[in-house]
Amino acid sequence: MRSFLDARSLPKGATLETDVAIVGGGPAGISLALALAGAPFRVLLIESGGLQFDAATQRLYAGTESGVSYIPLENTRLRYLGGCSNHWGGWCRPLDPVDFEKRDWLPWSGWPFARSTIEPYFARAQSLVEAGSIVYDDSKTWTKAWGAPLRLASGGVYTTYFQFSKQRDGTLPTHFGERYADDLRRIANLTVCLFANVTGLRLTHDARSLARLDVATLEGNRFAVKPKVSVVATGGIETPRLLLASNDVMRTGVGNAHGLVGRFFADHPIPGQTATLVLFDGRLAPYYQNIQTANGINFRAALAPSDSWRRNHALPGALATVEREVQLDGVGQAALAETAGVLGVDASSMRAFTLGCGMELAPDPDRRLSLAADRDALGMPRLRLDMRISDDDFARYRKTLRELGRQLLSARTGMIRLLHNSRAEWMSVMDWGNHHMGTARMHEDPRQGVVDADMKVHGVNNLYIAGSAVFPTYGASNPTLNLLALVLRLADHLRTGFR
Amino acid sequence: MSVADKMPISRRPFISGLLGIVAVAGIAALEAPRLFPKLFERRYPPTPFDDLFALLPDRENAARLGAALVAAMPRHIDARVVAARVRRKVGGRPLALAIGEDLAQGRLLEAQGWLLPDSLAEICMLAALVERTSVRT
Repeated sequence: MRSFLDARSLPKGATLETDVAIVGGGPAGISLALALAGAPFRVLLIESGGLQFDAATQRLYAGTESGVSYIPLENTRLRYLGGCSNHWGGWCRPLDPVDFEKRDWLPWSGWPFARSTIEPYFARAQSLVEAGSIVYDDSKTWTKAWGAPLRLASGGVYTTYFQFSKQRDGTLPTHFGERYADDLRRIANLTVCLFANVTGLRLTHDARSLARLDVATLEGNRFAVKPKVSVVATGGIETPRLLLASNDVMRTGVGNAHGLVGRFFADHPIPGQTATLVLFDGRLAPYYQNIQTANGINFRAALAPSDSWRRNHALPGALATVEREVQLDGVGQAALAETAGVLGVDASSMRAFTLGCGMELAPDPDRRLSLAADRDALGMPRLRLDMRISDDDFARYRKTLRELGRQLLSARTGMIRLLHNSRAEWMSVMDWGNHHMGTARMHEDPRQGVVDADMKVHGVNNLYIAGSAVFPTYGASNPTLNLLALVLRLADHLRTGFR
Repeated sequence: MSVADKMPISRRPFISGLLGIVAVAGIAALEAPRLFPKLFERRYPPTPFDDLFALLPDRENAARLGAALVAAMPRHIDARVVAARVRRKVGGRPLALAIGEDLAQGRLLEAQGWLLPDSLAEICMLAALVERTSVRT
């Protein structure tokens, strides 16, 4: 086969045979294909779109949303080679060790392994996103070049650092399709099939194996792929759609014997302007407000709760970023004057900034994607999202901000104002990170997870899921780097399996 | 009498002098509160809490913050109870010490979202409660 195929030109009713089929050409699918280069088996990467955005293909993503306001399903992702990396911001940071732990206060928490299991894969994941060598919280590199971080009293919140995917011409992070298309073309054991939409995962009659993939093009061509092993890498929204819609053998859908597929949908709420930060002396290292470069690496600081604080205070992941400079109103000026006065601090050079937010949601089985009655142009059922966010999610984030405020006051560095208290106030500034997670969660117990620790679908011996759909909990870090580490681990597993 | 004695005052020096006087008066008016703060300080009638108010940098700011705190309180606030509590915490020491203890123990109150150490916030509340009933002098 040629390395890049156009599915529209394949004969109708054809069957493509391969060893490994990867469904979805986003960051996960492309990275898996790259990681399997040179393996002693054939790989077929199946992508719905082409090399560029196409409106008709994108419309296949349309669905309906109910509950808490969320981004329309058609707009929160992209359906062409590179997938969501075509609109990502490039923020990278490994999940924290506590994110992997089972926490009694957090129902459904606990990955089947510790962070140390995927730790060896971060360096290669970092290379794929072109974010430079791994530095993160080894902060000397940053502070030596750009000055000291904020002085905080000892406590729960600390300065942490993101690294950024390579900025092309100062604007764009790594777009996986554009960046790696030539690399994919050069892989001898890989074929990339574009304009090919997988519309069904067809199981054997005993439901223990995947027999074939049904594939369709928007032009009406339909054909099949017969792989020995398949990996669904279509993201946290499309993955459950494909599993649920493939219900000819398993009436509830593939991998859905326990009704978990599509549940636990999560994203990172990123409401704007959650707090006002006042710095008494007005001094703020520039890496808090904007991306800076040190040793050729792009980075930016954020404020986050430490692992020990989270364990001791039953708190999820959280991040606060310093955004734009603002003026204080009358009450703010009174608060500043009075507080600086009693602390004996000179606040004549003070500056104030808004704080942005990144918040981890608690897993919620009723935050859910399910199939709707209407169908898309290929006859696939569309999705309905019931989006929810609990008052506890807001209250927990507030606790972290209060701790930050306490530490600022204790260090005589500054003070903060919490801008939102009621649910209505939070929702008035709500936005989302477009980080789709949790809908095919990973757990050793099939009653609690769709896939096992190897990301193999429980009960189906040759079907895997790659991507953030498998995250059982979500942390506050952006998912891409972390899902790539999981994908690289999966690549090792597949190579071993074919030996 | 010489001719010069009868000449009218020259207009230019007169205007310059007048502007100078106005400028000096203006600067004095602006700077006086800073130079002589005691003369311009707002005066308050005596209250049972003046020992606590004396710990504040600015009672007017405190009353403004306190009003925000009082408005957010679910129940009626008994000023004497609050004052007794603050006095116990301060114990005749500098307010900064009591505030340090508040912060170490995470005792914070919110005034329209502004996080304030308990002791400061409670004195601010007292200032607001007194302001409600006092007559400005």
